[in-house]
Amino acid sequence: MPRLYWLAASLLVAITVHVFYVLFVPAMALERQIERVLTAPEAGKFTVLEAGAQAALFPAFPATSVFGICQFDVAEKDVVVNADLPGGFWTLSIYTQTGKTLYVLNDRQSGTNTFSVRLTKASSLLDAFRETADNDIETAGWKVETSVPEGLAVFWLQPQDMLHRPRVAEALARTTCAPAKS
Amino acid sequence: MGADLRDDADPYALAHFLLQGNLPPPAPLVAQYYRSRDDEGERLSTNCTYELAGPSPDARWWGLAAGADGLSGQVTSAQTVVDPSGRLRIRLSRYPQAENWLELPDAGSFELKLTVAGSGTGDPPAPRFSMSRIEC
Repeated sequence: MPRLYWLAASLLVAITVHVFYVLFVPAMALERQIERVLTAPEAGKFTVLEAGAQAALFPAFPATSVFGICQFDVAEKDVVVNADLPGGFWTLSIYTQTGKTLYVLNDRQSGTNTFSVRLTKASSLLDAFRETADNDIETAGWKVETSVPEGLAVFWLQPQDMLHRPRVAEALARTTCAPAKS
Repeated sequence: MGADLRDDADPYALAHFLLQGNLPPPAPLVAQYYRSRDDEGERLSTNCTYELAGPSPDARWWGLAAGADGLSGQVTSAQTVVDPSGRLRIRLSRYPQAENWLELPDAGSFELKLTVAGSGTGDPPAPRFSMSRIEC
């Protein structure tokens, strides 16, 4: 009987450690990487990634790609992302701090390269339990409701070649990501 | 092509990216596929030359990267030539090759990563490539 007890206890500890590892350790690894690649990580600041930082976060993407990141926190106030992107292929992804994709949009779905996205806290208790984001089109742009207050807004732009990259990076750098005024 | 790590809702697929300090591709618009063995089941080696062949992915954009860090060699849909039947052939080698060429890293084994961006109206198309070893 004691043998069975210890076997069950060991199994329980193993499962607990495994679940903890899968759920929490990867998120901590991402957090450390974000702190490393964003030289001045602060909520509401938009950063176009340097080549080294881009290769660290998105190693499967080519050097011609351009990535821009904003860390946001909507616990106190909504955050508005304003973008005026050059024509061509791009995606905007909203991630939680644990790397889960909440919302994704590309140039074709958007239909415009000039837009704003308002990131806001989920309004209901039900939303808070759903690990997803709701979105709908308002007159000013898109509204993304997030069940977790902190996250990352990531733009990926793919120029045709290296010659176009500086111009695309320059246009992306004009993107703003700041707490909403009202 | 090898493992499909498209579903970032799967905690194991998500952990695969995060433990390496990478953000997962934004599903469902972008998918990544990995391959570390050739058609014979042998581990991919930078001492060999390979040919990747198959129908060109019907995607908005795709990029192929080789190497442990993904930095050693990359080709994209904008840089490759597809034959009139829509078939794509890419030679993977440390040395320059005629037509489409993906440069391999200097030494050791490597992993191939294919990133495919769809149009947004459905999942990105899954690639159907063969990977044959030409010489070592």
